[in-house]
Formats: sequence, structure tokens, C-alpha cells
Amino acid sequence: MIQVPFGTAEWQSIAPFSLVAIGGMIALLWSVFAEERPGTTSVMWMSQAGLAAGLAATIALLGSEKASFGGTFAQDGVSLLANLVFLLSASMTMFMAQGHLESMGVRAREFYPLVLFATSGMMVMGAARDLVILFLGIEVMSLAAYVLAGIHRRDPGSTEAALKYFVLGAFATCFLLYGIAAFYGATGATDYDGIRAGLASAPRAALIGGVALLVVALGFKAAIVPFQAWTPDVYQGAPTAVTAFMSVGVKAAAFVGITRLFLDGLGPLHLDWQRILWVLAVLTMTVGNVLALVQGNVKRMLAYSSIAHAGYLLAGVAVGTSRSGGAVLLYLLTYAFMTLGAFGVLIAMGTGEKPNDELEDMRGLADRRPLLAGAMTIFLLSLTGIPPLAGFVGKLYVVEAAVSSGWFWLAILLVLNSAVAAYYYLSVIIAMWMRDPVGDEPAWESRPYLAAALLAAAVGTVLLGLFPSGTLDFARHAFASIVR
Amino acid sequence: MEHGILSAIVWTPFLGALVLLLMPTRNENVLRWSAFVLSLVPLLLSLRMLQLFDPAVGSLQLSENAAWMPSLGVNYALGVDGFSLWLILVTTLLLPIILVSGWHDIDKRLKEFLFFMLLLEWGMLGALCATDLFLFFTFWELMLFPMAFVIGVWGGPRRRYAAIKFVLYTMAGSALMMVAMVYVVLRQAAATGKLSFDIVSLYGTPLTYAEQLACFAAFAIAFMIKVPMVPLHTWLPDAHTEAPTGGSVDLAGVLLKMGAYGFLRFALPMFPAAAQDAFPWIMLLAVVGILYGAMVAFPQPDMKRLVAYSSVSHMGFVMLGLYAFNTIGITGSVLQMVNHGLSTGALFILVGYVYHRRHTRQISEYGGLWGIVPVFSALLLVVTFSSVSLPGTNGFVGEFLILLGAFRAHPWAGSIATIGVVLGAGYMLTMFQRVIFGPVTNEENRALHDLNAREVWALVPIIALIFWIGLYPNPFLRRIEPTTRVLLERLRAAGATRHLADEDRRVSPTAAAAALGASPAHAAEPAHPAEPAHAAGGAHP
Repeated sequence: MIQVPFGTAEWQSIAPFSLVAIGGMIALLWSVFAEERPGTTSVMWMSQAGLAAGLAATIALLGSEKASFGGTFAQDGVSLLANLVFLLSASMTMFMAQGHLESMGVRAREFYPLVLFATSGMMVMGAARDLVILFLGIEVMSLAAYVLAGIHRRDPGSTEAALKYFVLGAFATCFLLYGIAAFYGATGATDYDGIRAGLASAPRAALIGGVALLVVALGFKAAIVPFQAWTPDVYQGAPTAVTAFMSVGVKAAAFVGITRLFLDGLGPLHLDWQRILWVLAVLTMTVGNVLALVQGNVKRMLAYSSIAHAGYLLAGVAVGTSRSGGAVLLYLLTYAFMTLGAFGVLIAMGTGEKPNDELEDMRGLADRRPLLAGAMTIFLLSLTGIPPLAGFVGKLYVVEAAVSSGWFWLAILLVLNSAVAAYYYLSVIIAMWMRDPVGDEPAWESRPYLAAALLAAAVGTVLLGLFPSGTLDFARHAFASIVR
Repeated sequence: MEHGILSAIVWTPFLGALVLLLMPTRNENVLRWSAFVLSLVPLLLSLRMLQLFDPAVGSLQLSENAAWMPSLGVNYALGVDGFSLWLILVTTLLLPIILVSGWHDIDKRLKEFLFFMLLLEWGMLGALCATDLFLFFTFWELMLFPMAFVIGVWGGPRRRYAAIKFVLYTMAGSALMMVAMVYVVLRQAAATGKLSFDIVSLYGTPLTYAEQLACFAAFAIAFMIKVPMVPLHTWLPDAHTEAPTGGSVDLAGVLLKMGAYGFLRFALPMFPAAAQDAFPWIMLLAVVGILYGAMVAFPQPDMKRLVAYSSVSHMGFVMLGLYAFNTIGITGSVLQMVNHGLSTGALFILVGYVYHRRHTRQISEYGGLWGIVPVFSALLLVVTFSSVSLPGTNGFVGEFLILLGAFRAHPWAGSIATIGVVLGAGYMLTMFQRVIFGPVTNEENRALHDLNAREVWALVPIIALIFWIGLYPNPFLRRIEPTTRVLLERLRAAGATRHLADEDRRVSPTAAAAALGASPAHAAEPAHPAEPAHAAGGAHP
């Protein structure tokens, strides 16, 4: 048994996710036990404070890279940037949900604490350098996410989404545990340093089996083809704010977990997993894009588009260099801004009675709400990958990493895929700008928090696209110490 | 040297667009006048640039450079040379003309239309001025969207189809170009240890022949779509036909030139060996384009569609001259880009005038307009002459130089292309005859009123330039030629001389300049058949 130290470094490294979790608990208890039942706004602000505390603790670690708990829990540049993505998506989700859930008839104060719990799970995933800790993070995140998907209790779609997600998620957990067991059996360790050391003498069949099992389990969380079947139904059924959170936060956490596992823990195995991930990446982006082409519902279309983006991200992982790791991390940040923004616009479209998320509903939006249509146009163009928006630099760096390692076909298939994707993103733009509106104008609701979140997302999308240098350098530098 | 002039030219349209968008008025006249005044700013600035431009220098000048993304070696770098100079001026000139000529054309969402037109100008100017590959790519993609909006929102009945086709074609091409771009930059970095997207330093990238071929193919396909060359041209007739007049003018005037400009600026100098070996294919496609465009233009019932196909044919000439790989051909090509922008732009504006009055562009709906709208008919006559390259107009100088260059390099290509000139005269004059001459077949046309002063004045600058370039092209050619020479030197230095015409190697630069200077004199005579034979003999000693 390894002697696990517990000193200042350990306290510091668990501070970010603990503070978020504690913030969630306080908000939850307060919303239940307060003298007067507090309004959702105050719970929301209280939860934001929890996120802010987590952010402060994260930033405090900047510059002092530590591996704590005997190297099984890392507080390095990767987890720092990952934490930023998680906190950003949680915070934006909460702002966007404010007013949106109420208008759907969901008076759920527990929504905000649940988002915090999920976030703290993600932060554990982002820092995990041990399969068991990774497992703990995944489960903390997932349990909260299952509840979030079903938060609209009276809506059959939301309940179905929760059930599907839960059953399939439980299934994926089995694979994860079997995978962990296979590695433990083969290498005698669950921490990445131990696994790396044991790889050379481990039986090959067990390793390949373990890799396959882990790919299935993490592929499920990240919605990678062919483990994506749950995604469209769950994303469409869940309330849009939850969908946004799942497609950004959950996916990002899964990808940070995958990237760290493969680049760090399984680094020496390169050739075995690279070929698997290569095929899965191309499959994922192609299937996601092709299915997105035929969707008439914008929310569902965005669900498929998020599968396609998972493919681009996986391509970055498959390349397996510190360059590509940095590119994946930057991509996650750009993806967070533009995807949250696009879902935020869909939230703004919805009224109490109707979600208004069909392609038909987008018609003539530029006439009715030019600012909203303008924001959506920015997000969609960024998702398409038009310079100088954030989505373009994300893709560019993945392509650059792939080309610099000689993976030309991967790069070519990636860019061709994004050209296909242009069609469905454009069709929304065309509906908004070039078609006449149908039906009566819905009774829009004014939601200042949502508007602020959309503005922030749009500004982030543009600025990150114009000035990605600093972030990219940081991300690459972070991976340089991991990829050995 | 005054710096910052190019930045000013590129960014004033963008600022103008923002100003327009934020103007708190819906008063249409206020919007039109402001847009017009805003569009004059870049025009005046570009005239100032012309004044600052040193005609003797062939390399990039008036350069600006600032770090943009240091970790990637991306700079904000602008510059101008003989290839981009006149295209920049055409771009800045066309916008005020578009606005004046189409003063009342736009009847919905005027503010957004003007906004997108200014944004489009910004994108085009940025792409023309950029001397950093990344910056160029950014503007290259950026300019797609204002154009797509202009087509899709203010276009004809099939506008949405045309807009999406336009975007998808171009994006598919540029996707591969992006991979090739990254590849070249990484190869360059491997050789020099420094990431850089600077065009001039990328010219010297050490690439193997196979690498050159692959990268050239990626760049060439992106540019060939934009030119457009047969068989990648099918987006063009749709885009042109559906676009509102202003959109068509910018599309024909500048956007199409981006393709040929891309060859000159990137594809040829970056991959010289591959570029020269691609010559049979490019030549073939250029010649096929010339003939195909002309033959398809003949039976078109719609005037705009006819002009669109004529663009395919004319751009074939541009590519032909470019691939002659000699001073005369390339210089002629660059001039012809300007010429085509002016004359086709004017044609679209004139078609727009009658369309605005009658709401039809069918040739069969018209006839006998000479007696009813004489001013219109006279202007159309001048522009048609320019389009069919009648001596004395700009089209003649450009096409003559191109054919001269092509004959010297590849006599067979030049000879076949000459058929295209005849066909061009055929379809344009047929259209002119059916619309303008003959009896009035449609009684509705009797009520047509002639052009008013605004409509005439809008075209005056173009008409003036048509004759200026036609009669005294030297000021134009003088500024293009040094840059052509720099390009050819570069190709030669890279060993891409297999298909360079021999005369270029033997004839001294001064003699070639004299040949160019003599071209207006040739213009006075009818093209004589002895020329090709003589040139062919020169090419094969």
C-alpha cells in the first residue's frame, strides 16, 4: 500500500472542486431550510458564488504546478484550463436557465446545486491521474447529469431522456470498471505512473482489451460513434439549458479525461490506440455531419453537430502529440463559447407554451429579432469554422497538429467534413435571414441574464478567434510536460 | 514612404459598415447618401495609394507589418504590387457606382443591404492587400458571407439555392487549401526553424516535387472554383442570375478576379515546378472554358445569364494569358481582369436598368429599343463593344496581349482561343441586335423612359475608363509589368522554365517593354493573321 501524503499541496489541489461542491451544498440546504423559500434568482447567485470560489482557487494554483496524492491527482496547466471550461459552461448554463426553467413550469431550485455537483465531478475528471479517481469524477458528474436531464418532471420527453441516459450510462460504467480491472490485472496499478511503468511487461491481450473497454466507456460520455445512439434523444428531450450544459461541460470533461488517459497514462502504447481513435474520429465526424444534414429540428441538429465536433476533437487526441493535446484543449474552450451561445439562442426562442426550436420557427428571425439573429449567425459561422471566429482557430490547430505529425488524411477528412457541415449551419442562417416569417410572432419574454450570457458568448467567440495565441501557448505548454 | 494607407483603405469600409449599422435612422435617403459618402472614402484613399505607388518597383510596396498571432507566426501584413493595384482601384470604384446606379433598386431592408455591401468591399480589399497567407485566407473566407447574404436576401426567386451553392462551392475548395497552407508553412518552419505565414518567405519553401504537386492541386482547385474554370463553374450562372444588380457587379468585377489573382500571388510562385507541369491541364480547361462559355451563352434567353456565361468565357482568356508564362500574356491577363470587371460590371448595371423598368430580363421581351431609349442603347453599344474587344476599347488591348502571349508560348492554344473571340462577338452582338434593333415587338416597351441623369452619371466613369484603357493603356500596363517580371524571374529561378516562351529569355526587358508600348498602335489595325504564324516560329526555333 502506498503511503498517501496529505499536506498543503493536497489541500490546495482539492480546493477548486471542493469549494464548488461545498457551494452547491450550501445553496441546496439554504433553498430547503431558509425561513422563507428563496426565489430561484438568489439560489442562482449563491451557486455562482460557489463557482467563483472554485475559479479563485483554480487561479491561485496558476504557476505552481503540483501533482498531489502521490501523483494521482494533478493540478497542472491542463486541469487549470479544463476547470476554466467547466466553470464557464456551468456559469453560462445557470445564467441561461434563469427564467427559462420557470417559463416551462419547472420551479426547481435544486437545478443550480445540481449543476455545481456535476461541475465538481468534471473538475475531478480533469485532474485525475488514476483510473479510480477518474471513475469517481465520472460518477459524481453523471449522477447529477441524470437528474438534470429529467428535471422537467412533467414532460415525458425529459423523463425519457433521463431514463435513457441513466440506463445506458450505467451500462457504460460497467465497461469502465471492467477496463480498470483489466489494467489493474495487467499492470498491477491504477495510477498513470504505475500503468506506464507496467506497460512493458504486461500481457498484450489484456492491454488491448482494457483499451477497448475504456474507449467504449469514455466514448459513451463523449458521444463518440458508435456509442452515440443516446445523444440525439437525450439532448432533444432534456430542457435546452441542460442540453447546453451536457453538450459542453460533460463532453469537455470526457475529452479531458480521454486526452489525459491516452496521452499520459497510455502514452507508450501509441500505435495501438492511435489507429482505433483515428477510425472512430473519422466515423464520428462523418456520421454526426451526415445525420445533422437531414434534421428539421434545430436542437436535434445541434445535437448531431456536437457529435461531429466530438469527431474533430477525437482527431486531435488520435494525433497524440503535445501540439495536438494543446489543440484539443483550445478547441474545447472555443467549442464552449459557440455551442453555449447557439443553445442560448434556442432558449431565447422558447416561450412558456412552445420551445420554437424547429427550423420553421427560425424563419424571418432577422426581421423580428435582429440582434438575436445576428448572435446566432456569429455562433453558427463559428461552428462552421469561418475565420476569424473561434471555431476556425480550434479547427486550424487540430489540422496543424495532424499535418505536423504526418496525418494528412485525417486533416483532409476533417476539413471536408467541415465543408459538409457548412450546409446545415447555413440552412439555419438562410431561414433566419432569407425567408419570410410564418405564423404570428410568439410572445417573447425578456430575460436579461440570458441576454448577458449571449453577449458574453458572442464576445468570447470573436475575441478568442482574433487572439488565440496566448491561450494556445498555455495549452501547448501544459501538454508538453505530460506527453513524454 | 507614407505608411498605413493600405490599412486605411481596407478598414474604412468596415468602419463605414458599422457606422451605417448604428445609425439610428430608417430614413432611406439619409442611409443612401451616407453609404455613398462612406464609399467615397476608400475610393479617395485608393487614389492616393495610386499616387504613392512607385511604378518602377515590381515587388510589394507600401507594406505594413504587425504581429498578430506570434506563436503561429501570423502577422497582420499588407502590401500592394502591380497585380493587386488596379484590382483594388476597381473594387473601390465599383461600390460608389453600384450605389448610385441602384439608388432605388433595393426596396426592403435597405440599411442591411448597404451594410453588407460595405462589408463585402472590406473583405475583398482585405484579400487583395493581404501579404500574409493566414490573413489572406481569413479575408478570402470572410468575403463569402456578405456576398451570400446579398444574393440570398435581395436576390431573385431562386436566391436561397444560389446563395448556398455559392458558399458550398467556395468552402469545399478552400477547405483543402487550408490543409495545403498549413503543410507549406510547417515545411517552411522545418527548414528555417521559424513559423511564418509571410507570402514572400513562403515562396522559397523547399518542397519535393510530389509535395508541390499535391499542394498546388489544393490551391489550384480553390482558385479554379472562384475563377471559375469549367467544370467548376456551375455556381456562377446561378449566383449571377439571382443576385441583385449590385451583387452581380461586385461578383463579376472583383470576386471572380480573386481566383486568377490567387494563381498569380500564391499558386504559381509557391509551387513553380508543379504549376508549370500543370500547364496542359490548365490550358485545356481555359480553352474549353472560353469555347464552352461562349457556346452556352449563345442560346441563353435571359440577359443576365448570358452575361454570366460570357464571364466564364472571358475568365478563360485571363487564365490562358496567365499560363502563357511570359510578360505579355500575364500583363495582358491582369489588365483583362480590370477590363472584364469594368465592362461586365457595366453590362450588369445596364441590364439592371431595364429590369428595374420592366421586371423581366428575357431577351425576347425586348426589341427595337433604339427608337425608344436612345441613351440607354448608346451606352449598351459602347459596353458591348468593350465586351467583344472592339479596337479602341479596353477589351481589345487586354485580349490582344493575352492572345499575343498565348501564341508565342502555345500556338495551338492561342489559335483555338481566337475562335472564342469570334463567338464572343457573335453572342453579344446577337443579344444587342435582338434587344435594341428591329421593330418594337412588345407594346409595353413603348412606355419605357430613358435613363435619367443619375443613371447616366453612374456609368460615366466606366465609359471613360473603357476608352482610356482602350486608347492609352500605358499608364496601366507600366505599373503591372514590373511585377510580372518579378514573378517570371521567380519562376525562372525556381527552374520552372520548361514552358516559358523562348522569346522571353532572349528578348531583353526593354525590348519587351517596347512591344507592350507598341500594342496601342496595333490596336488601330485589324488583327492580322501573320502574327500567330510569326510568333509560332519564334517559339520553336
